[in-house]
Amino acid sequence: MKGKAKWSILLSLLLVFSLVLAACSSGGSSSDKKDNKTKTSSNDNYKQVMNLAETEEIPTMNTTIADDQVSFIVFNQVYEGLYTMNEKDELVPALAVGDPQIEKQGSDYVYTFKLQPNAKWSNGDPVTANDFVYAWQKVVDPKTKGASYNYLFPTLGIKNAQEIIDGKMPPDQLGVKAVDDHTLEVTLTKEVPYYKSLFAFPTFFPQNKKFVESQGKNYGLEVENCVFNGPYVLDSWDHNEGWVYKKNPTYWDKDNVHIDQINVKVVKDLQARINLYMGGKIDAVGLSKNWVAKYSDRDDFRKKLGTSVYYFKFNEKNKYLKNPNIRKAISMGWDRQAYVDKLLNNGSVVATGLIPGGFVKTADGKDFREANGDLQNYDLEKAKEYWQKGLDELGVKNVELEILAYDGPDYKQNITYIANQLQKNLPGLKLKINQQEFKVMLDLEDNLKYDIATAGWGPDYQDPMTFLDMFTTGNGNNQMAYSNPEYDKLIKEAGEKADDPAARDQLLLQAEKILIQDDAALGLMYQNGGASLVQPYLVNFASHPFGPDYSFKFMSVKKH
Amino acid sequence: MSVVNDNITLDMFQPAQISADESDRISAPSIGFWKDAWLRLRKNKAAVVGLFFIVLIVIMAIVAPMLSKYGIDDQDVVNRQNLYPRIPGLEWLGFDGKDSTGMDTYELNGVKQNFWFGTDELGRDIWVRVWAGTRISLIIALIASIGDCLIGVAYGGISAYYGGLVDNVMQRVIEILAGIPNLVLIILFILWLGGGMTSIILALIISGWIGMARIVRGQVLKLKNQEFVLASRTLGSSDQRIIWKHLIPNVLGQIIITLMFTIPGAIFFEAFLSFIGLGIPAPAASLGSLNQAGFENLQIYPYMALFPALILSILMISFNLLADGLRDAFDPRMRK
Amino acid sequence: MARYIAGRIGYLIITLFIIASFTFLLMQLLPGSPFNSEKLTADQIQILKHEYNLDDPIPIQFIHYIGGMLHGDFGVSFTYDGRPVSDLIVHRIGPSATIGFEAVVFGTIVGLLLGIIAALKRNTYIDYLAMFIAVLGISIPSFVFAGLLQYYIGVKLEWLPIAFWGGFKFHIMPAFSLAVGVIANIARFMRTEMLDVLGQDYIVTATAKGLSKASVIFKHSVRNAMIPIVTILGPMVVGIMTGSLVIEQIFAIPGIGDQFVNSITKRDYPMIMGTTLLFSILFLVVILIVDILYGVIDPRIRLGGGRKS
Repeated sequence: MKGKAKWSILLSLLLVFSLVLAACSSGGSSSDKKDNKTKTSSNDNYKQVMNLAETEEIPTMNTTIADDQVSFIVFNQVYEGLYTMNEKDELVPALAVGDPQIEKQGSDYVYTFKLQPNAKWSNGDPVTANDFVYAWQKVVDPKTKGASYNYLFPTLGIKNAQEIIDGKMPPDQLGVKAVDDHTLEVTLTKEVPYYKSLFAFPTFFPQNKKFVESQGKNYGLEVENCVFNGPYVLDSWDHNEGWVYKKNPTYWDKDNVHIDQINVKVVKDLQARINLYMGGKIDAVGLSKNWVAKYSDRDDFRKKLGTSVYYFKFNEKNKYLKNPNIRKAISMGWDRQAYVDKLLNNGSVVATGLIPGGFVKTADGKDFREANGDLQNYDLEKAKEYWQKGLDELGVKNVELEILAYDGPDYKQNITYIANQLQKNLPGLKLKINQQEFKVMLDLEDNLKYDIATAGWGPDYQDPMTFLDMFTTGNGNNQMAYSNPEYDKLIKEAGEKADDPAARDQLLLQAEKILIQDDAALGLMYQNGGASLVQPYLVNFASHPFGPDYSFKFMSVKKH
Repeated sequence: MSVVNDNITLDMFQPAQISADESDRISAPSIGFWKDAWLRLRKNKAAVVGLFFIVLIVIMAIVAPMLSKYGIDDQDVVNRQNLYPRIPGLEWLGFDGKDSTGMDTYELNGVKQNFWFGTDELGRDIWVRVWAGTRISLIIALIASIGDCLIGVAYGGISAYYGGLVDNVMQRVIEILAGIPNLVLIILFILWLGGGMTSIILALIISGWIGMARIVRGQVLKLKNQEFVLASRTLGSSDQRIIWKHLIPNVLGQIIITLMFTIPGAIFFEAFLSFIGLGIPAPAASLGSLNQAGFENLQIYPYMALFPALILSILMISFNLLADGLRDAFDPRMRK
Repeated sequence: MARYIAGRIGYLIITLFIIASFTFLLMQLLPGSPFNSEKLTADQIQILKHEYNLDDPIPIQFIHYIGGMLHGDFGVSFTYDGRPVSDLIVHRIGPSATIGFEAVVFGTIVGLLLGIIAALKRNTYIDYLAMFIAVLGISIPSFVFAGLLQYYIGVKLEWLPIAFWGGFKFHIMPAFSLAVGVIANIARFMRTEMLDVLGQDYIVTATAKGLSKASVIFKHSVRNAMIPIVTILGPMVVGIMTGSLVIEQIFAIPGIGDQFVNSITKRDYPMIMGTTLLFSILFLVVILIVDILYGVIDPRIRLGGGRKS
């Protein structure tokens, strides 16, 4: 009796499982075959196809309002501006033919660009100078909602940009003009050494006026509501699932585009992305902390130094942090080398100044970072000295502060380490960790409701100014009540003095020294690195130091 | 043949002297409700095992962190980062401090002492963090469950005992509250109050008391019309006395069972909150946050996932076994 | 019956209205605002707020919202550049509902089997084993289970796709990860109910009548024991369809759970409202259906007219 019962259980279980298995095999057989085919075919007859995973859905396809990494990556493949960044991270002409003709007219500089005569939108319309005028006027128009990058126009010195943004002039007064269909005239109020990197930035891309207006509110919502002029077109887009790029058949330079198709899937979980890479479903994956240790011996492992810099912002409204000695003590009082080597471990390096290493060169060809030397370092003895001095000046023994950090998965250990180090090294300091979502952090920073905040900044264009102009008095990104008239003066002068690069460098070098070394307005953490696993058959697959992360145009797939 | 002569005679019998009170006496020792439940619970091996592990884990959560000289946030990334567990005597089980490639992580870092559960990426003793985390999870679950209980018993009791319009209104309120999905309620609530133990407990209570209130109401409704309540009322007992002396003790069994199911539920929900980043703020740890960290390292340092997951699972299993056992023990139908 | 249902639907609408107001208020109390951005100036944020009527007082905003809702307009998402919330939700409910449904069906079948077997073999090692499996199912966090499945079955053995959304074989691992909890809950519940039913007089009668063992078990016990299962199945279905966020992330499934948490972190107010209302409607409707079904299945319960007390 008992034995019989056992068997009946086993049988019923077997039944259930076989049902499931049967269902799987019948349901999945067709796609199974497809998988096998790609696998075998890739061995003898490889395809120019790349598979990638992205962490987020594309928030917008509208270049005038985008402000996020994923959108910019997509824009850089399906749209094109005057310049673009090639595989060697050099800025090369895209829609522009060669370099512009620069002419001084009064106090202004007029840049005249010749445009590619063969450039077309994917609906067959030619790309004309008017498309630039239309898009740019839209960006600076104060009525355009959410044009977060419009400040780049005054940064570049485009005539009347600031006045239009402030609502003092109509958008058609912007210093840009279509001389004819293929000649674009841009009027700048100053000569700008970094103009190419801005013209390669997606906010400066053209838009097809006729098409955009015909789509109205639906512009950019689905593939059929978009029109492309880049090396690739979006072939399909399943929201939150992924999208597919295909080579653009109407692209003017299509002979130099190698990869035919790129499949992108949205995968939010890091472990899932790594599993997909290990299973051969995606061709590249970014790694963080412990994964680096696990995979750093592999042949497909890569490390690259980035150009974002991370730091503490000290809120100088706080009575303790107002004291420069306290700020100096906190900046110097924790071991950053161990942090970078043991915790980040992804190619990041200790930041010793606000301007990252390997980002810009001074006029005499030296790296900006080297030219200004190490402005902040871990120095326990000195930190203790400053700390005691600060405490004496304030007349207190104990200081209690809150440290605000982003709420992502990796940030928890990192901030715990820093808080632990500082509390151990600076007697009397008590740090409370406050991890918040990004939106909340920004809100707290906006309203100066924090003590110390961890923050980072990636450059928008290739010039120290993209970092330094944030900390002038009253700047929207200052958000820490930092104010030093001397610093303001240096930045203002540097902004105007574009014709003498060497003198401008001196101003910027000095400004950085004041900000970091003298005032310790920021406590530096690190310059980011990126570790990843990349299939060796991807050629030129690497991220750019600034602007959109990737340009698929210059990549290809090797035989494998 | 086998007829034995009837030599049973009347004088062989004697009338038993039974007094009137004697006949009412129960010969077996009197067993109260609680004692009876305990006796039956004791027979349920699974429940006893569950109880044993709960007691063991509670004791460990109190005592174990003291067995290490390190605190929950004693870091050393340079000298003892990511050490594998090493337990003297249990090397054959894999607790030998060697990683998957057979490298001795202790030798590499020149560490002499043993870390029973290993160390994390900040060089903190996982043994201490796991038990301290267990303590926090247990405290959260216990306070949240007791809170559920108090509100639920009061609400359900009042609603059922007074009945009529009171009951009607109170039940409509519950229906509406129950219509709000828990996940939505808890997440919005925690974000509003800000992270931390208090807000997690409050959020758990806010979403958790409804179940208890419903069960208590059902039980009280059933009981309040039974004869013994009627009898007590006829004898002039006050509402207060009826509630405290008759209703609550009779509902208590149900309440305890529900509590036993609520506690693991709360532990689990806290773990889920940690997983979506709404848990206990660093550097403190809970079973949830340790599990989350462990999950991130599942394929890299599996031992970091092993211990918190193991303790979470044992706790869950134990509470469930105990609750099952209690349910059987309190259920008169299960009496043999 | 009809009156009862009409009454319940009335309550449902009131409940939804209260939930909507409550969520609306709570949402506004959250720290942070949807348009906080490193790059936007205060003026630009003001323009955006005006565009979406966020500069009105909260009661006015609420009236706007309810007004739109009555016309089927749930507003546009703040994060996904002007895409209507209803489109986004419709797009993402499919995958969640699919794996949720599969998990519930599979989980219920296996759970029922386990529960029945355990009850019939009460206090034997088969019972212990079945209940051990069940308790294990509730005790192991689903993300740990999903992570292990993905690694061993997907990466190591290559039996099933590691992640992504597609044909049936893409559903198996996520649905199974979700089903584990269902199996465990149903099995435990079914065991208790079966034991309850097996002790009833009518089962004794049936056995005494000389009915075959199979007939007693399947015709009399199982059918009756399954009735209360309906009550726990309802909330479970909703819970699984909406609460599979972690599983959705691990298997890269474009589902609604992920959308909900995302909308909260981005402070995408219309999206938060839309998903919350969707969850609530689902929940309330399922509970209503369960109550009605319960009345239909169980002759002892008659809703509406026949109510005493």
